[in-house]
Amino acid sequence: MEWYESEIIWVLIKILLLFFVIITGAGYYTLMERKGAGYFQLRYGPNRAGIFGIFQPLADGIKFLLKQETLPKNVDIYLFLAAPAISVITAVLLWSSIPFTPLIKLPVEVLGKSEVNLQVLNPNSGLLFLFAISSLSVYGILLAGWSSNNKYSLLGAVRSTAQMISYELSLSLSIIGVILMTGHLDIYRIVEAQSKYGWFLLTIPGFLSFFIFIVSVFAETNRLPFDLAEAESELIVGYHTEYGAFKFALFMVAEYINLITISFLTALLFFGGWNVPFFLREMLEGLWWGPLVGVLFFVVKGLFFAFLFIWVRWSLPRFRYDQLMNIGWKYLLPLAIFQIFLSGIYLYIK
Amino acid sequence: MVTDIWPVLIQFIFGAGFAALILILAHIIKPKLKKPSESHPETFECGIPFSGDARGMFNIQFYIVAMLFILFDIEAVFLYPWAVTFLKYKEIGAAGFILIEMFVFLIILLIGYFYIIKKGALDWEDPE
Amino acid sequence: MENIKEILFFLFAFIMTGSSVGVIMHKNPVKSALFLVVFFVSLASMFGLLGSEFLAVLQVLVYVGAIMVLFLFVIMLIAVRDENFENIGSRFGKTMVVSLLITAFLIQMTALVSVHFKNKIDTSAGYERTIDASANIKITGHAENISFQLFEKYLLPFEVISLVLLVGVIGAVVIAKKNRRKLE
Repeated sequence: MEWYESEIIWVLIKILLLFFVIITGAGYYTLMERKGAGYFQLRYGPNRAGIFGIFQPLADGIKFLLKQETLPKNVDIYLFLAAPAISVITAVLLWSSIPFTPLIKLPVEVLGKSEVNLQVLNPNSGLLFLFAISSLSVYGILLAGWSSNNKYSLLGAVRSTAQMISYELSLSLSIIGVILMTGHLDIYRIVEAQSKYGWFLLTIPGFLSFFIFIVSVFAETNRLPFDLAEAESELIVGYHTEYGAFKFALFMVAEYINLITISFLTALLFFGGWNVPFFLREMLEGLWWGPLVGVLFFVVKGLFFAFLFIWVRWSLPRFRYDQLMNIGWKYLLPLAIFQIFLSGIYLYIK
Repeated sequence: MVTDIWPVLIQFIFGAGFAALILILAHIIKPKLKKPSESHPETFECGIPFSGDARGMFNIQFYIVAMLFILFDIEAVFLYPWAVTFLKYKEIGAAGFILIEMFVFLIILLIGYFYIIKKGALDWEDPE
Repeated sequence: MENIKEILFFLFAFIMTGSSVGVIMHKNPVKSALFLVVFFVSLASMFGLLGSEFLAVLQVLVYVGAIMVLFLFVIMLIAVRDENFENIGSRFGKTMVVSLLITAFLIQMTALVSVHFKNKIDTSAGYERTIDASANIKITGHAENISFQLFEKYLLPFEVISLVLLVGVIGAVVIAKKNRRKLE
């Protein structure tokens, strides 16, 4: 085996490729959000930097870099700087176990491999890995709030942490239905199973788990209607009140990366991922670029969910905090447990 | 297909490197002010001078939520191995047995859940 | 490859010992708790290194994602101030504590290194076996392995766990609510 045929080269290639695609994607997601907000409110949105504001993310980035750097007086300096870094690191780790493409059989052998898929790591317990990493993202917010030593920041951080852990419960329980139907924790195999059974959304327990999943995801990512962490009308902007310039931008980048990851995860778990409709399947049989058509379908599904986050944000008002906690604990949690009973019985009868 | 978890280390290094690079870059090319404003690094408090310390006492409800979260999270952890092997047990015809086993587990926990609801431990009331 | 594994093992071992010293030495309780978080994460990495990902992932999920969040909440909730070592003991006591800890740390490191060299000299059977065992677990898949054990061999303990959790739930509510009434 030559030195360049080792696994590590491929891993590095995948990481670099995904880094480029997703960081750029996060930039353009902000543009999409602002454009979307504009059209929802019957205005234009950003349209100065290039046609349709196409260079707006770049302009934003440069603007953030050129801002005055502020280190407030009463902060705990190490944690203050570590908090945005933790947010970004957890966001980056989160996408590492998402399979973005199926296995593609290459026409020629490249670097000692004849089939590859765009997934950095594939642990046996991929779904649990995702939840473990997303449970770490609480720390970025909690530390940002605590180290700032600002009343609004700390209140926002504590609120947001309590919210995230509450909804993490129904999130992790909602997945049980999907795992029951496939018998795997590995995301790749869950998608493969859907080529046999069809979309999980179309089964009875699958629909219920999708409903719980999507509501919890909105709360997990602190998006409207659950963005109590940064309720502008009462908390200024919540946990990142004291942050400015690129430290603030890091929080934003992390948030949008998380949204992208979760949009694609939803498409993978409930909407068949890269599986193509049955009439295309026979046509694409045996072609080496066949899987790429599937990837196209997958990207369209992912982008739809990315748009859904924007759509909901500009359509619904914010909940009150006690209402939010009631939804999580008194409605979603019993529903998630009922969903487990239902999927157990459904699979038993089937 | 990669079937190992070690690439997470490389991904971590890349993520940490990205964050550090950005923070250092922003520090280097920030505009240098000759005379920075004196009030700029003050802690923000809606325009009035900052008073006291932000790190005070909090509502005990947050603590209850965190505590209950741990307990239900551990319950969820036990559900994963069950969900993974359910189909395998079904193949050997033991699906009913394993189903009832988990239902007993869940029902015992549901008793706890109804206790919480009944005691009003999840109600966010006015602390006054 | 084995070489890299060993280097990583010592790296994580170093982080673990260092962070556990940090837990008890740091003045600020919030930072002590954060050192504990670092400790748990590197412990999970250690499990991952041994080829037991399921355990590693659960370690992070339960300890770091749930229990440490509660710890931090409690520390913030009761607004603990910086620990003042001067109040606990004299300056002499403080020095003693530090030096004892450093000694313990050094002893542990030397023990680790000696074990390392012992394995280097004679590739003892024990060392080989651990690697084989981890390889075996990997092939069969952990979650399933654990499940088969849990629902057949350890059925009763499994059901008892739900009772333990029930007691935990009731205990948490009783304590929190009782204090509440007293305050009122």
